[in-house]
Amino acid sequence: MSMLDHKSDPRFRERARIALANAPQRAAIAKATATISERRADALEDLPEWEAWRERARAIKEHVLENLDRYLIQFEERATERGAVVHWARDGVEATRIVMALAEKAGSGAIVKAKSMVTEEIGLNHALEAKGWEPLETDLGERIIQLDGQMPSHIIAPALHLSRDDVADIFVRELGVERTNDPDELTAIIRRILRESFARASFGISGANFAIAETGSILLVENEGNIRLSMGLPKIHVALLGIEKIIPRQEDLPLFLRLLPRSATGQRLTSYQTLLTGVKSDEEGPDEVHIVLVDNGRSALLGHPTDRQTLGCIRCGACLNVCPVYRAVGGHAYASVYGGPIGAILTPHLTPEKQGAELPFASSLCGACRDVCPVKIDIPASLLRLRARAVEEGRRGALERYGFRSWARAMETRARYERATKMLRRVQGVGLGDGVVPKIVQRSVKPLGAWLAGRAIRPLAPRSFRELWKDGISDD
Amino acid sequence: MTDARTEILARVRAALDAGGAERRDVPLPDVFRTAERSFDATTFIERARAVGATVTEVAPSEDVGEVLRGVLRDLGAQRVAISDHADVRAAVEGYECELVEPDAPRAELFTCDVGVTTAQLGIAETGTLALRSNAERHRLTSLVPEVHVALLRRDTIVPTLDEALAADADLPRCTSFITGPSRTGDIEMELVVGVHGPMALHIVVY
Repeated sequence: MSMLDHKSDPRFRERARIALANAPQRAAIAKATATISERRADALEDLPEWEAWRERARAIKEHVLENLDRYLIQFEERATERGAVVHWARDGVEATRIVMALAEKAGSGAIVKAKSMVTEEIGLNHALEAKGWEPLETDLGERIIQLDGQMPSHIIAPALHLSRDDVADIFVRELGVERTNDPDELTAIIRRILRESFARASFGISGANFAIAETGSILLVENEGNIRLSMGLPKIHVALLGIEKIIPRQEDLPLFLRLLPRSATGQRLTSYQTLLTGVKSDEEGPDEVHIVLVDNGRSALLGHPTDRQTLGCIRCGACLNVCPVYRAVGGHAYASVYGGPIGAILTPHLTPEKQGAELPFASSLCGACRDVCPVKIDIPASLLRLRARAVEEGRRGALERYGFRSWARAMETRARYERATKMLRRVQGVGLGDGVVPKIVQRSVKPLGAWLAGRAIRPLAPRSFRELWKDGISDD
Repeated sequence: MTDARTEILARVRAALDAGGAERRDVPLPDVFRTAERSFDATTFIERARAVGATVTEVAPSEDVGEVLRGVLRDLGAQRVAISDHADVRAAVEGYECELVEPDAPRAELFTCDVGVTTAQLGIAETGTLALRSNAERHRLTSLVPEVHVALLRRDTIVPTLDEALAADADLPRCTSFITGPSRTGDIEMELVVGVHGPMALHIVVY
């Protein structure tokens, strides 16, 4: 099981078409993304330092990534000194194996899990379930989609595509509770049920938002309290994190804590941040704390500055909320655990399959993502680089290649350009008429048909400006 | 077969080497500290209230224990979990209820309606409490019961996150930063207060 949804159609265009036809889901996504974007905008009012924060955060991330080997070693050393156990995992299979061995050791009792993108990415739950374990997602949104067997559709709000009625249906079907669509009551149901599991939890699984090299600490950010419970109650706690999560110093945390919640939910700060450093037997906490550093394709991004900046992402989801493509089609159309603009530039690196390579084309290159990114990732630059790579690898069709070659040839010299426009004027009468492209023409140029279907083309004028000028423009 | 650690570090180095000239030329920037200097205890109270915490100020003429017991009475607290801080024990002294001691079996905590702790710091910038595990056993007492009541000394309120997260020689294994009660927006972005953590947070500033 990889981070891609292989059950859905392999073509983005097809998945997008299905998503666009789902009116209730479109409404839910539109409402949610608009709400978060407004909250973010409110949170940024009267913040003269915002740009300085972003710039500093970008510089810190860049520095860390350029020196990642050194920082990883420092983190491991400090975390180990303080009593945590640090593991390394080349890929998802290896990370899963480490977690399973710990689950075995923790013995019977509930496995409580905090929301974590890297565990989604490596398909940890499915792997555990296949061996008979029952990891319980404890974040409300994550629990909702786990009950329904779905993938998350948003980095910070996994059930953003569902309406309260959808959630009500899922709860009636999967939990056998009496129907209610009241968010307060739905939340109370999950609280009641999960508290029973928390009370007998033996093993806690989480991610981490930041790992601090200087101290060997990890920091987790949340609102619900389920992460604190998942890390505080069990005998064994394991945190999985991508190798890019490192920041140099504890003193860098305030900067990132000012950027992340404002960008993610428009909060000045989320309800809880938990800073964990090792194990001390005389202080409250699990008997064992394990930290798994997961590569899973990340190291390959370090080789080029444009790719490398992708690893600066702090998973706030702001780029999803402002993206015109994401706002229209939602996360599931990307068929990856990482959707939206950041997903479109991260997924192709982490999955060699064609399904991921197609995602950089699911963008209008409008740049809204770059403008909101709290660590100033130039997402459009990465999209273009990945598009170029897909073309070089021959992943785009022959027709696209032929089309752009012809275009390039026609634009190369004036004579060719004039010949081409003359020819187009002659044939457009057949195809265009009033500008609306008839179905028959759409079908005959099939790959362009989908593009033409939604557009009225303005026909070329009978004579070009140049020709008019030559004959004395005032005549006309 | 090489082990994972060796191989990941080799991959990282190989990729960075392939990057060539620009490698490692970005210096580590200085620590960023906010220029904002106006935050004080009043800001703390205002911002804690803004995120749904209830704040009670103890006047110089009042006794913190009396104020705390008043808060517990208003909450109708019947089973109260306490941390192992001497101030907490002293403050609940005389309040009629079932007291759940810090060393009680964990299951007991799940049946408590209130947990009382102190907080080591207040952060004015965000209205946040910081609970440090090397000062007190309050990691679960502040989390599992329905309501969390925290005692906060006015003179421990710092202006910003910068002071609260300054380099620290004596790092606790767990620092919990708490801003208001637990909340979620996972269903249609509608704010629901009281998810897995406490349904309410009361701060007694003295």
